[in-house]
Amino acid sequence: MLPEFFALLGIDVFLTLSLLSCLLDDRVPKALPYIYQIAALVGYGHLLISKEFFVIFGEYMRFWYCFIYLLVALSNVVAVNVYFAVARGQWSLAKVWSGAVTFPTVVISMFFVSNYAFVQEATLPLLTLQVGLVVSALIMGVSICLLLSPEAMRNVFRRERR
Amino acid sequence: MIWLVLTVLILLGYSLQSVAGSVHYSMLMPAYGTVSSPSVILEGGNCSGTSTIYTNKTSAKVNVTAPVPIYDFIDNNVSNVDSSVGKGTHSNFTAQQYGPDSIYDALTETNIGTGGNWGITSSSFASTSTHTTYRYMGGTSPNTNGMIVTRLYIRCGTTGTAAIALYTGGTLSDPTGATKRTEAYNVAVSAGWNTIDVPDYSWPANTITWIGWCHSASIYYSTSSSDCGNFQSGQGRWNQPSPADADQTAPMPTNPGAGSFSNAWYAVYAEYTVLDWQLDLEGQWTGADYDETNEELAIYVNKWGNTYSLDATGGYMIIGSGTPNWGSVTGTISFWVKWDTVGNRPWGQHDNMETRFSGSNLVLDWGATGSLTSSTSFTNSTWYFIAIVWNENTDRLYLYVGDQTNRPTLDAYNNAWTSTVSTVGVTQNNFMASRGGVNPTDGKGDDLRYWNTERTLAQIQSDYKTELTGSETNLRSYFKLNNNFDDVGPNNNDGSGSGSYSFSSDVPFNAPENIRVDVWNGSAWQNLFTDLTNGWNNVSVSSYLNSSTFTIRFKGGTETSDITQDSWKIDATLLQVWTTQTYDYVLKVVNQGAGNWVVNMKVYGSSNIGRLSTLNISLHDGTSSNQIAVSGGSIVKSEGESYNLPGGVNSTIYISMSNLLATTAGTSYLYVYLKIRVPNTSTYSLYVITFEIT
Amino acid sequence: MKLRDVSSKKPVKFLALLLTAMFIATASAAVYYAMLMQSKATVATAPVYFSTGNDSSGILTLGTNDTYASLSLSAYPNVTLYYDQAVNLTATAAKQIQLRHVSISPGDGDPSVSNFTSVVFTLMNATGSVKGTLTYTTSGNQWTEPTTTGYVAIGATEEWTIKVEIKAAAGAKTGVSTTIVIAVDVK
Repeated sequence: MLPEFFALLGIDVFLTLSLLSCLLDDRVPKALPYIYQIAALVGYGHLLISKEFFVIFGEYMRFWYCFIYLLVALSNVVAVNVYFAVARGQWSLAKVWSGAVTFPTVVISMFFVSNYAFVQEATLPLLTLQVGLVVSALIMGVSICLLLSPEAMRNVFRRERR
Repeated sequence: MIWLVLTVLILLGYSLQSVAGSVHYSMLMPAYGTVSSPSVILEGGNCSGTSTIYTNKTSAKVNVTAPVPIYDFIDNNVSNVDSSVGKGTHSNFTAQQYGPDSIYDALTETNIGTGGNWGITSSSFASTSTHTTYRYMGGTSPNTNGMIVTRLYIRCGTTGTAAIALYTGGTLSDPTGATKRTEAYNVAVSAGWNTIDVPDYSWPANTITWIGWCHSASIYYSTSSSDCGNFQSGQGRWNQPSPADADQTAPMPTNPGAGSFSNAWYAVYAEYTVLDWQLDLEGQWTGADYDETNEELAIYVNKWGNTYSLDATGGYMIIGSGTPNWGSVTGTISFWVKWDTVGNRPWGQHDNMETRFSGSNLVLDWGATGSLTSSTSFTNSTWYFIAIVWNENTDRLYLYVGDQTNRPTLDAYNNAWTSTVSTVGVTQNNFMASRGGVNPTDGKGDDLRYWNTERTLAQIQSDYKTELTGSETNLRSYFKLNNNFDDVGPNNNDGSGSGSYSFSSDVPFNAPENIRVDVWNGSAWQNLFTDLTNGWNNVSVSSYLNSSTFTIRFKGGTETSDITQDSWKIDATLLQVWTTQTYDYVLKVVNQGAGNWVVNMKVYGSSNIGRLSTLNISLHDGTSSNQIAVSGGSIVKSEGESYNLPGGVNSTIYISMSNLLATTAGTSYLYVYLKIRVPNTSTYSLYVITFEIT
Repeated sequence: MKLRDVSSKKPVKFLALLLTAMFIATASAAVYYAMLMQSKATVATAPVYFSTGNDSSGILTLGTNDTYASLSLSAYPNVTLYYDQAVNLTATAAKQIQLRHVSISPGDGDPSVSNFTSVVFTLMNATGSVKGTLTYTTSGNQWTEPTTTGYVAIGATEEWTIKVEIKAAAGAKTGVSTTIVIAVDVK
């Protein structure tokens, strides 16, 4: 596995965000899909650069370069999630988003990162991986709790009716 | 929006194109080159002025001089170091002093045989006798080979007419049955000794011989047996009483007839020559260079040899344009002929001047039909020599016949030949046919000659088996028929072939006897060559050339009782002397480092080396390695084997030149690489060395 | 209905975004795949790599994976030094290769350039046929650099050699050096 895989993953995340935000274009700023498309193009451009400078850049540099891009993409997923939850107050959408988009993308990304780290024999400190897993688990737990809590649900619906 | 989409689409399409393609990579190879001093350098030699070393001592030029042989042609032919009389003749001695070219010196044997007289030569008899019968005196011929009876003598008392003949055979007590061999009749005689020319007769040694005569004059005689001379003393003269009145104007009897002896000895004798052809001709150099290392005697012999004959298979030869007229008052026509089928006409120019056959006998129509018929019956597949000799002034017509093993002898003759060929004219002069292709001969012919003189048997026998030059006295036309119809005689009537013919290598005679060359060592002759061959003959004479005078002699191989006269063509005779030059050494190859190297030399170019006879260039240091060799004007070895140049303080190998010799003056160049290589690798440098040889 | 109205409709927008997303994803995947193949090749043995020749001893240093070779050559004044087999090229697959000039130092104008007369790199196949030549010559203090030899095909099991001929000028100063970097391109 090449480090550029994470850049590819980041590109796919941005493209997904772009499409989803297009579908939810009444809940997000109208320019958001295009911004995410451009971000994906930036990622593609980055891949091309990486291909040309294959020999010059060392593997360490290439990994972090791509991983940071992936983190940015994931951050955007989380940000949109928080946006739905906090800025718009649409808890149900936020919950769905967190379950259908945020949680899977983060877990899968961490899975690939851990796999890469295992193959490359720990360029990444194991602590970060564990932290990532814990964060994911927390988010998942909160989501489930909220989902299953009647009071919270009532509060949500009450606000919506208003 | 649409613009954005379109732009993006275009960009993506372009990127996809460039992405999907050649997978390639580059491997870098930096090369660092650093100038360093070569550890192997060239230095000059110890032969002063021979070498020039160029900047950085990685190239050089060598200048040497090549010696040229001295060619010293023979100086004179007048020396006589052995105090003996020379034998033989030069045709043109100066031709030996340059060449080889087309002008040569023909060395020809001369006859040193001493003849003699046989019979009674005394002039002291006082009594004369007149008789009308045939009388004969007999004895045994001398014990000498190669005798030829040329004349008979009779001492007469008065003027008159005589007939005289020589016979062999019979016994000393009875001449009947002896055979007439040669004669003359109707000869005018006067008082005193009369010299009577007779056809030459090849007279065998130790043979019972009779001289017979009749005359109208008187003849001197003695009654004392002590006056018998060479005749037998026991018997006097034989008298053949019948016919009682012998006719001195008619031929003598073929054989002596019945008769008796009487005690009288008559003044008659035979003169004979003896054939012993010999060659012994000296030649000398004065002022010769005798100090060189190599000294050779070189003699160039012009090609001799009868190489071809004319093979007529239905065709024949036309002499000149067919018009040359060989009908002279005196003349000799001779040729060799070998019949595949005996018959037809070997030569003829006119109905009344031609040869033809009657059965297996040759018939001459010479001025008239049937002038002479051969006594020889010819057979197939044998080379015969035939000479027709005539003299209209003396009414003589002779036919001589010989073959490869027997010299020509008188085969038939007519002493009363009254016809003439000088008046008949020419229809067409042909060889191997007659007068325009009549009866072409089926066989081979060679060496056709026409002389405008009556040749003697001795003359004919002297050169029937050798080729002539074409400039002999009285020789008018001469066709060697060596693959052409050229007439090398003065008439120059080159002929042509007609009909079916070719040239065959079957010839009646070939090379002459051996010719030796001896050198005078101060007190005796020592042999250098037992026989010269065609072309150059070279022999070292270093052990003999000890002073500025050098003498050789040409000598025939058969020097006793040699009945055949031989001739050899010598084109150039010279001494070539030279000393090859050695230059040791012209360059040094010095290894200044610790590393080992291997070196060798290789020619990469040359100029004008055709003038170099020999040259060797070698590397040596203890052992020698010949690297480059020139021989006979061309490079026979252009690259040498590797030679070790070990490391160590100034380890040196030497380049030397040896065996240097040129044929002419000039400047030659050899362009050579000295290849200096790291052992067991192909890392090497090429140092350029130019050899300039003047 | 205006074009703007059409284009502002949601399905249309979604379709356009979907199309561009697909293109970007495909292109990225293709680039990634190309790099994957490329890196797979470099991880394994290169199909064409440097190897030692007859004359390599003492002058050749090979880099990791034999894809880098460094030559230390001598030059003698006024004479050409030949390295018939300075370094070899071994092929394990049929490829095309070329020699290409990369850099030379010291560059034009440096006075030490005139100490050299010529450097020639000759690419030769197994039978000794010349396949390409890079010839560097000097004129005064200027180098004349060659371009590329052009691609030539090398077969799967063939071993070719690079022959170097180097000549220093007459009277050249010892110790002066030059560095010529050439590349062997493989495709």
